[in-house]
Amino acid sequence: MNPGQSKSVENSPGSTDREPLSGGSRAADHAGRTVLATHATVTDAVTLREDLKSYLVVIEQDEPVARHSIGLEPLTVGRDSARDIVLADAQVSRLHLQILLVNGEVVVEDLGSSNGTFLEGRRLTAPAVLPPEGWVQVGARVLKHERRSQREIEREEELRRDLEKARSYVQSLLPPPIGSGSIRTDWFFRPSTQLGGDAFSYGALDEEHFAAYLVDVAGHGVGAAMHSVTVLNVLRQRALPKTDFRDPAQVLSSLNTMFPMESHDELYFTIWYGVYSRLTRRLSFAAAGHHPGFLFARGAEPLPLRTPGPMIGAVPQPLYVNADAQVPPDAVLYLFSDGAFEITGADGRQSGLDEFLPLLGVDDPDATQEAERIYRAVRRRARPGPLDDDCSILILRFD
Amino acid sequence: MKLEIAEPVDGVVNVALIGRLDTPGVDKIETKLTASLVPRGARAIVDLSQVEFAGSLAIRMFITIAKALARNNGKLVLYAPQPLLQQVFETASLNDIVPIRADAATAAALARG
Repeated sequence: MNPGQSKSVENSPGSTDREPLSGGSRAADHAGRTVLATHATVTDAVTLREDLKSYLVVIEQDEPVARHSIGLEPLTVGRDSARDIVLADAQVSRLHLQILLVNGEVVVEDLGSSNGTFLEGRRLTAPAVLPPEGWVQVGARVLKHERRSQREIEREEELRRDLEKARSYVQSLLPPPIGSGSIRTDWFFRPSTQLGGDAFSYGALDEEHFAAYLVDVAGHGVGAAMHSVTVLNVLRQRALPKTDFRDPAQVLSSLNTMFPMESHDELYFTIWYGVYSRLTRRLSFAAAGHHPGFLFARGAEPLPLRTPGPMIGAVPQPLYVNADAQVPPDAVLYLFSDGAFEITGADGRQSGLDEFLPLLGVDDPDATQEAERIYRAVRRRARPGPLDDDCSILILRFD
Repeated sequence: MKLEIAEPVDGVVNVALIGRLDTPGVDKIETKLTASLVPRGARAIVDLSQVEFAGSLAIRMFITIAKALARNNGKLVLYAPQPLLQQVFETASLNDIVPIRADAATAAALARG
């Protein structure tokens, strides 16, 4: 099927794993001999290794909020202000636990707390070793053991500041929710600590047509975020040459021409793009490497809105196709990124789309908060600590 | 995440991946996998039967390696993904870019050309 053609949709449903010095540094010197590492790199690396220290990082609502050095003297944790780490949480006892170094290992001990200390999801009954990158949960807080050098901490802090700037920029470009009218919107966006490449937007193309789209750049960090912002700006400003923005497949083809991954730091992105006609109540859509959006209507099974087609930028001149669906009165369209459903639970089990879908289409007393409610439900299922990827949930309600 | 690279058989290198291809998993193997295959323009098949999860970074890694190999007279073929991975790959239309086969024999035949 050529771009622009349509088809109907059926209404059916620890260790950092660094290479050893000798292994990772093998190279030929100027004389052509093989050397394992130069004196400078060995010295540098040894210094770095000796500099490694253990830290306890306090994580609240996915965000690291404090870092404490762990030493031979116990770090006490509790609700009482006399503790070394004070957690203002009703689930936390006044004196809850202590953490200290014993023979070079970090040991955590519950001090008779009421609600317990959970190491990797299991309640502590005796002092236990907390390995690097391991975590304990205390009330709603997570305490994570990180082993870092001062230099790594400084680098991380610098990166965190850059990510924070990028995150603010991405969020500033997201559209305000629409609270009234024939199409109402609600969304929730929670960037991961590393910042993924999610972005989305919506708006009227003309009096009849209304477009909505969600972009997910593969990768993390400032680069992925800035790529998503670039794509978002191109779509918002309708800056694709010779493109009818009412034709989803054409939009995807033009994006693919503009953003080949070879010219964009090997970054590609997935996108779901749809256009709703207020006149005909038809929703035309196309996807590029993206999972389906879902249309919920009263008395009907959720309708997956999917089309085939590779991610944008991966191959030259791919084939994208349009599909369309009729939008019944009071229907609700859900768009979301894979970070919303590719979740690792506290038991380490991976969940997917099948576990996520039952969270959608639930009658919500406060529809304006539905996206956040869905996120909270996802969050409860996930293991403590930040989610692995950005989580974006966009909801459109039709009158 | 574990990576096992076997000696070539009839000119085809078999790579076994074991574990989760999430962000840390990809970070752990990407450099080694790329360095092991791309410079020699390998004809490689990748056993995914023991991979429990593959995120977007894993897909990006396979695409990047496949393209680099193609420029170097090599080829990358994936095989035996579990159902969850198969679903992820179908959504991404990965098969349009990197061939995916059911088993090692058909993957090796394709890699040989």
